[in-house]
Amino acid sequence: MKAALYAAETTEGMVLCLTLHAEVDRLWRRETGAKMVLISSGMPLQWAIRLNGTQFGKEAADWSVAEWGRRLRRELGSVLVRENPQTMDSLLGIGSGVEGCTAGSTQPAGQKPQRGESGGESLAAAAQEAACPNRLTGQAERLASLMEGRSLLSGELCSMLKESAPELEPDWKAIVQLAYLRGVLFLRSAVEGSRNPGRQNSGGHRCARCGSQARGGPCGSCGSADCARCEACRALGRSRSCELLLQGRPQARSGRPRSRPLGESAGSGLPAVREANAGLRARLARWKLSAAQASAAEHALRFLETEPLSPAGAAAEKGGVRGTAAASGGQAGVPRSPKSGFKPDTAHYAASDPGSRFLLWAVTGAGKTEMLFPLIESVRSRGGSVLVATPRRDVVLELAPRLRKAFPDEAVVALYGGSEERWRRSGLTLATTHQLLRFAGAFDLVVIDELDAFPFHGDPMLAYAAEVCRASGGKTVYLSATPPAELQSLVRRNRLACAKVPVRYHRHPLPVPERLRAPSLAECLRRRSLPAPLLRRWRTSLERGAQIFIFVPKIVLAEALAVLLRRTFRGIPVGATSSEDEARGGKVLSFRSADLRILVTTTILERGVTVPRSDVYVLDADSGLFDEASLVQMAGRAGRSADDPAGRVVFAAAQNTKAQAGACRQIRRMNRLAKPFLLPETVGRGRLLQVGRLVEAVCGKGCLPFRKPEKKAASERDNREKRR
Amino acid sequence: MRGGAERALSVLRRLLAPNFEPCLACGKPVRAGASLPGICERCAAGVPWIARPRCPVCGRAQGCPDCLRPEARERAFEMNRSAVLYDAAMRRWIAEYKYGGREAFAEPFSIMLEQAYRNLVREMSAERKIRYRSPGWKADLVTWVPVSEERLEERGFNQAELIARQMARRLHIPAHALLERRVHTGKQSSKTRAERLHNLDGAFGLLPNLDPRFFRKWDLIGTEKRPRGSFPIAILLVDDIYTTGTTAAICASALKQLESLLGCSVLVYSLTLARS
Repeated sequence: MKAALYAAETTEGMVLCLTLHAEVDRLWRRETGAKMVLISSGMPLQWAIRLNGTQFGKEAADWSVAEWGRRLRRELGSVLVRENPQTMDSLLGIGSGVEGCTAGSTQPAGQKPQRGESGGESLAAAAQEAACPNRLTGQAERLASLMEGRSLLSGELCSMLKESAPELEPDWKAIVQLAYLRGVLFLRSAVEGSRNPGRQNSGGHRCARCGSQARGGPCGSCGSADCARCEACRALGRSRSCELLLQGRPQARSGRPRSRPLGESAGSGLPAVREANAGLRARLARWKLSAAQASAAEHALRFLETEPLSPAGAAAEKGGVRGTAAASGGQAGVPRSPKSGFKPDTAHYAASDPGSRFLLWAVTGAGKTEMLFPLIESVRSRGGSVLVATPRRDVVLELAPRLRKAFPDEAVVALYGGSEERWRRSGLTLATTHQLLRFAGAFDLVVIDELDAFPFHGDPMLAYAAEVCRASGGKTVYLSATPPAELQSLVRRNRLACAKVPVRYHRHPLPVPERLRAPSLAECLRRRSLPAPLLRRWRTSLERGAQIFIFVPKIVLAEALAVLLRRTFRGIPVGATSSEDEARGGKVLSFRSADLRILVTTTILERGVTVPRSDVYVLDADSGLFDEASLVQMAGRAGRSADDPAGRVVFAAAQNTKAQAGACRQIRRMNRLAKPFLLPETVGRGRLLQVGRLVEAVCGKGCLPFRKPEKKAASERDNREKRR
Repeated sequence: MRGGAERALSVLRRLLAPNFEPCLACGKPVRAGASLPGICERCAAGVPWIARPRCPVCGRAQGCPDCLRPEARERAFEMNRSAVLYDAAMRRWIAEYKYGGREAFAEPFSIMLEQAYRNLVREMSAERKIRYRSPGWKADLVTWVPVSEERLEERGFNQAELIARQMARRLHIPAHALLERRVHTGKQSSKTRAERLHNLDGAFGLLPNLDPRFFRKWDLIGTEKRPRGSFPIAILLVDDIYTTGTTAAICASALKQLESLLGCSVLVYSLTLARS
């Protein structure tokens, strides 16, 4: 889009200002009687934003059109390198006649009380405010409150207004302009150019919304030959150089920070701490967590409720760049990467600012969601806003009802692509990670679920979005069963606060994978026969009534293996699914309800799926496509329910790999850590079971004499506990 | 010093790392030298080419009741040829291109369009060789269906112009904007058949300030083709989708107004990416 540019008289001379609606500026400046010279009736927005705020001396008041044209071109300099010089004047929008206007007369300022702005300017601002039509002022206020903590493209703004405030939509430009003049809304170019383009190979454009690099090209919308569009965040509306990115004020807390229950005061003397601990426990009791969950949640709560390490720094951030003109480009709380060629990820952010982050490292099936509840409650009770971000839409849909049930007084908003509640706001927001791009400085607590999962892991754009959407002084909690190696090393070096939940909610140890040497799957498929040890194990699993999860590294192998299995196990329903399967949801459901007994799948089902009584077999576990995290996650599909806590996990591979060894080590380490939390009878059972299986493997089709009664005992115990 | 070393490293990295671009349609890596640039082999194999049009008028691959309607005879364009069927995959690709702003699709699309043009040339030339024994048929000018200012502002590009210009550059045919859209009528794709047929009346017209120098070149084309007399000038009208042919017909009748300006007859051939 295009924006107009005018020069306004100040005490020092003339200053260039951009406008979306010149009439509003005229009204706004009427009171001061400052001269206003319209220079351009419309130039590419990115240029207007770049020129905005440029100062000229007193002599500028007498400049001609041609002179202004020369000055603008000099100011823009290298930005215009790729433009066609012949059409430059029409592109700059000059030549349509410079018109001066001196509206109104100077009015004695100072009848109104000062507002939050600094110094003598606020008097003038107050006077100007009175001059603008009341209706528009009210609308601008409304817009500012709608835009709080938001970062939207103009197209997104329009669609939000259409839904939330349809009366504002027709003259949104005027309202936006007034809000901008009042300093409650910041205007940026959605893709910003760097000061020295040409040095980087991309031409030096960077998306202001998602932080990715963008490439320039001709644009029919603004007419510039070097208008960059961002490919990375394209799915959420087109981010272009000439597109307007509107950012509201940081989210204001919905209430005064309430005094914490039981009068805790962080960081005071010992008695206070003891009292605080008692208070914490009392609050945790409400959520009925297991001992391990409670202890981790307590850690996390204490982290949340202590003040940031450097309050002075946070305050400086808060009052910093945000309040000034948008032209400065910098945003408070927005991390800037040191070099534009470098894409920082989560670990990078965590390392640079560890004081505000917390890692909740909970094994698969530990009941992470329940542990979140006290954290959410803590922040909400103090009037803060909470975001729970998760990589997948399915998870949002599954979590939303659980959160609604846990917080019946909250209007939980679920955001995902195609969500009905797209523009609604509330103190408790549940969103897919991509939706974070629509926020800036909005949340006091950001929870990133499944930190290591696609697409969050390895996408610097989403890591950037997760940083930007957090309010200054806010905190981030990462949830993961398999945190990336960089974060693990930060934890080891004591650079990142972390709480581990090594035990599942049913207090049984994690099944330790059994490593089995087997020929590669491709080999088996070629020979059309499966290795006997595997077949034997599958038969045992089927006999004990378990569901069999078979993971293969590639989509093509899944269906081929299913065909072979159907031939081998006649009468047993076998399914295969992958990311390309449209009926995946249905197959998972029928697998869960035991209509399918064997499901062959790829890493697509490695997380988020709970099938009550299941055994996990990973074939070609030595494939490069299975890293340590995904092996741990796949192993985590077994033994999730209390009725069958000791599922079987087998890694079948032709060779040993680091990933397999690492996964087994990680699971064993967690089981060791879990000892104090385990049910007394289960301690050491993991090893016993392994010995039993060894015996079984040697004897062929053996049954475990000690296994059944124990399982029964365990389930009885569980039942008893439930009754309690 | 450090900057220099870093730059050298990045150059080295670029040289050594295989440059796999992700497929525009499915995101899988594309091998260099694919038949359609930016599209992987698997997606390219799924393109529903119209190898042999069944309807001689509109180029549809199936039988065509539309062109049998009496009012269809009065259409101002000679014929339409489309590169592909408008199936689910193409619908997705074109939507990505038009509404999703993936301009990178322009390149494979222009190649698909070129394919359709080559088929048209073959068809026309064959007929001509038999009948007139004249050399092969060739289009004299490429133009495209314009979009309204408002739409251009929103999208940032004219989807038809982009592919038309790319194709014309490769084929060395002059390309020029000749039409303007006078009224903004909303998307054709969101209208029913009856609405589509009439809402475009008067929506298109010739550009007001066409460069007269341009027409002198056309005189040259005419004399080159047939030194003795006037010769009809063949204009290719490019658009992305052909559904009822209304847009093409109205644009073609606007282009026919050139006849009075030029003093020679104008034949309009519609060339579209997809035939629905």
